[in-house]
Amino acid sequence: MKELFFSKDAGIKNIKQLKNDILSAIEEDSEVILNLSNQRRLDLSSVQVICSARIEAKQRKKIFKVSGMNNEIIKQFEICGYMKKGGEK
Amino acid sequence: MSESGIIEIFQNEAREILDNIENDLVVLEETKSSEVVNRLFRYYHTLKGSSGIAGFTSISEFTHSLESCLDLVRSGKISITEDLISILLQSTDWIRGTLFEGGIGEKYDTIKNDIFTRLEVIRSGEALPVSVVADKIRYYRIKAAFAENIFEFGIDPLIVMEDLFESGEVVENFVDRRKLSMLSKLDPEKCYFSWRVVVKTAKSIDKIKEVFLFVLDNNEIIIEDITSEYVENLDEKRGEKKLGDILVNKGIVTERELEDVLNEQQKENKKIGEIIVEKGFATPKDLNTALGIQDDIKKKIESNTVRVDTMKLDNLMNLLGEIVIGQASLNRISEALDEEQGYRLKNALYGLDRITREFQEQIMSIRMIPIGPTFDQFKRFVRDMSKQIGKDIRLDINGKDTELDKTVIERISDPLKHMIRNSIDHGIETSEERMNCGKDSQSVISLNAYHQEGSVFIEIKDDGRGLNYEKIRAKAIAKNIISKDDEVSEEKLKSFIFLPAFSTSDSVSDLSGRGVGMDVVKSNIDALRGTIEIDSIKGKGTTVRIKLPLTLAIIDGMLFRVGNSTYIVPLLSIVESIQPKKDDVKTIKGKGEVVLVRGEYVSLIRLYDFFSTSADHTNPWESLLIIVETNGERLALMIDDLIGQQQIVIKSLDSYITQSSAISGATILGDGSVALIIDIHGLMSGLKNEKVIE
Amino acid sequence: MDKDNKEKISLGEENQFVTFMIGSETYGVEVLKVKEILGMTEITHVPNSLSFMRGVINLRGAVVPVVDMRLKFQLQEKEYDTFTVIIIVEVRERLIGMIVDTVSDVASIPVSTIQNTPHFTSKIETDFIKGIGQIESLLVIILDVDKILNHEEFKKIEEDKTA
Repeated sequence: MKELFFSKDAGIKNIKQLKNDILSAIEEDSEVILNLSNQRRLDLSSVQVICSARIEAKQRKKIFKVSGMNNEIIKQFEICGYMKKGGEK
Repeated sequence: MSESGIIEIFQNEAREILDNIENDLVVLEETKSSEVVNRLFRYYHTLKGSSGIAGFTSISEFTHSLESCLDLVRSGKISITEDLISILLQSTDWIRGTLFEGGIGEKYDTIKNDIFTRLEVIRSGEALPVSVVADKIRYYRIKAAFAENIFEFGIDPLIVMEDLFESGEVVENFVDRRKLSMLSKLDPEKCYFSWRVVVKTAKSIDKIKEVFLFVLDNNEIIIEDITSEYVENLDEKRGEKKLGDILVNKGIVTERELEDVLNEQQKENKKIGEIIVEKGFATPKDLNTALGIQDDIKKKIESNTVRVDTMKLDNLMNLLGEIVIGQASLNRISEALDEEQGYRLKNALYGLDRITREFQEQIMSIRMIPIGPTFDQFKRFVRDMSKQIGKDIRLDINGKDTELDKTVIERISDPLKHMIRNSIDHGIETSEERMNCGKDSQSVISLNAYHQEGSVFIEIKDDGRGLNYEKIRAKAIAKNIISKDDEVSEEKLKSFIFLPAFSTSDSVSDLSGRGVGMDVVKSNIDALRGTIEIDSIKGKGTTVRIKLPLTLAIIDGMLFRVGNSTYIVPLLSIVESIQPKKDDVKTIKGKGEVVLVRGEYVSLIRLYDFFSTSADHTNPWESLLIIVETNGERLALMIDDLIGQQQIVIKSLDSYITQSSAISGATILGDGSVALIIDIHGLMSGLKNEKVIE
Repeated sequence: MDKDNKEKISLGEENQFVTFMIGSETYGVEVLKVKEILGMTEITHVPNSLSFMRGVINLRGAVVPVVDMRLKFQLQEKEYDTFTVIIIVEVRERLIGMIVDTVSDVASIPVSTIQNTPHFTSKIETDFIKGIGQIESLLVIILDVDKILNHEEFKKIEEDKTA
């Protein structure tokens, strides 16, 4: 299991790096947890990458989870249909 | 079925619908709820259809125009104003008139034309841009498909969507993520997501458009007002969601599959069932099972009731009365039999008695109907009256589900109306007066009903100025009921309100309100064997509390004999029976004959005198006294002998037969003779009135 | 007899009447108005009632008021005997009993013999009398049972019905 932190504020400017970090983590480990506790909010590009990572992990029969979300991020996930109200999906 | 039968059924149906319409109109004025608009629309629609079938074409046509007017309200083209509600309320009057009073002639034509003209004015005046009617709840469907390269412009669509979610309640949110690939193949600098959202909000469509102000160019943003369509389909949608749930519960489809289906459904306007079968999540057979379950659920909700003609219920009650009388005569026979056989018959009768009591309770429960509709009818009354006299009054209704005997409900309506009118007219101050004493400018009248101790209580409460005891006192002095120097308690003063002498008062309005017709109210309540009391706090308001018996037709009674006649007193009124000592009976000036009972002097009534018959004894200490009580006051009735207690079927006596308030009815005894039922409350108030008139 | 009178009386070609005696006079009521005829039965006195109201009786489970016709017509009271009967009539959907001295017969009276009420000098309220019929030499006073109670008393019935 690998827990991943993203040191900068995730956004379009560093989205490529975020993508590559997650991708290599998934390749290396069977279970990856992306800890968002140091993120205040996300932008659409990072949400897309997280969603896409989940598809990637599923295809490889691996596990990809996110943790440490604040309320604002939970709300953002809801808006993007990544989460339903009231919990992770 | 005969034609008159159809008409009658229609009239009954229409009466109910009209009541519902009136209610909902008043509710609509308050809440402006789109759900209520839809309900109203359906009512008008039903009324239109069935009046056509029953041959009331004029009503059918009339309702048609109301229906189309409602449609304009629904689509937001007409806003809900006081004016509109007034016209619609007036239109229900017209329909009533036409339906139940013939409604032909110039008067009705004039009213009809007037309604149409006023509707037309509203219609034409309101043909304003949609943004004006922004104070109502609307549903908007927003399709937002962002350009792939939107990030290059420094725009984050998520912020836009967050703004949209802030603009109201999101009732549907579908995110199309199909363009998104797996991470290894993803170009993360492009936008893949698009949305289809339904927002419920009071904001105007322009306000919604503002959210997308910076992304309107190059992106596909479509905003539609779908209020009418959405609300119409909502019921259906709910039904279908349930179908989905049933399928999941039955393990036919997984939740995940169901979600796919629901998403699919939002793109293509297909039935859920169709999509499920198309996708191969379930076989048509499974689907039918689920649909069957869904139908069953609906049926369970809808059809567990049967309409019964109330005449049939009354007949049933009468028949039960006959059974009770029959039982009483069997009981009599058992007395005459030899000991062993008498004992056996008595035992059998005891069992029968238990069943008849149970039977009676069951029938009574059928006759019980909730008071809700009676309360609801006052919504319009309060609205109309308060508008008319310019007071701002809200009607609060509680205990709608409290059930009362049908007859009681029918007879309680007028007294209630009377008391509400009193409150509005006199009890409640004008808005300015209220502001001056630091009260909320809107006053509240509340109606409440509840069961307690085997009785039903109905309360009418206002937060008005309360009773003005000084003025009641002054009035009582003017009416020669009390003299200037009399010390009279507030309790006593309140009781004057119910005197007929008081109600004929010429200037009631300066009597702080209550007065007109309260004696009529009281006699109505008395007729139902109920009691009425008033609580009042000066400046805070008045509460009128009515207590009514649960059942009307059968009571437990005590039979007793005076000379050759048998009389009955309700068992509930009896405290005890005593044989007085000679020294305990006195005559007190102004009070008449009294007897000392447990340290208290109680008025003595010589029943043989009262009924102008003869008695075995004329000396109270040789006779028996039964002590009865009502409203905390006691009387001693002088009788010859107690016979025993039994269930009594009350047969009412037409008022031309006797003017006496002391007789609440008659019953037929086991031996076939008729016995009169003494109403203690009526007896007491009769005595009081006599004293007052003296 | 002239046409106007005929309309006022509003009787058919030939009508059947229950005839009975009160004192020395013979009276009749339309047979259709009569529900049944009973022998004298126990009457329960009701306080505070109309002067001619004797009380109430049990008619197979229904409580029915009875009127003593002698009191109604302000004749001398007479003790009830084996001939005394109660004629139950229907008045505005309600039953009322009339106590009369004796019942005579059911007779057909040809319309042509019925005359409109002349202006009686009698004490009897003329409202209550529909006309005078004739069976051979016998004069029959035909009563309008709908008017057994006067206007005021009626209003009470109507009020009860709407209540």
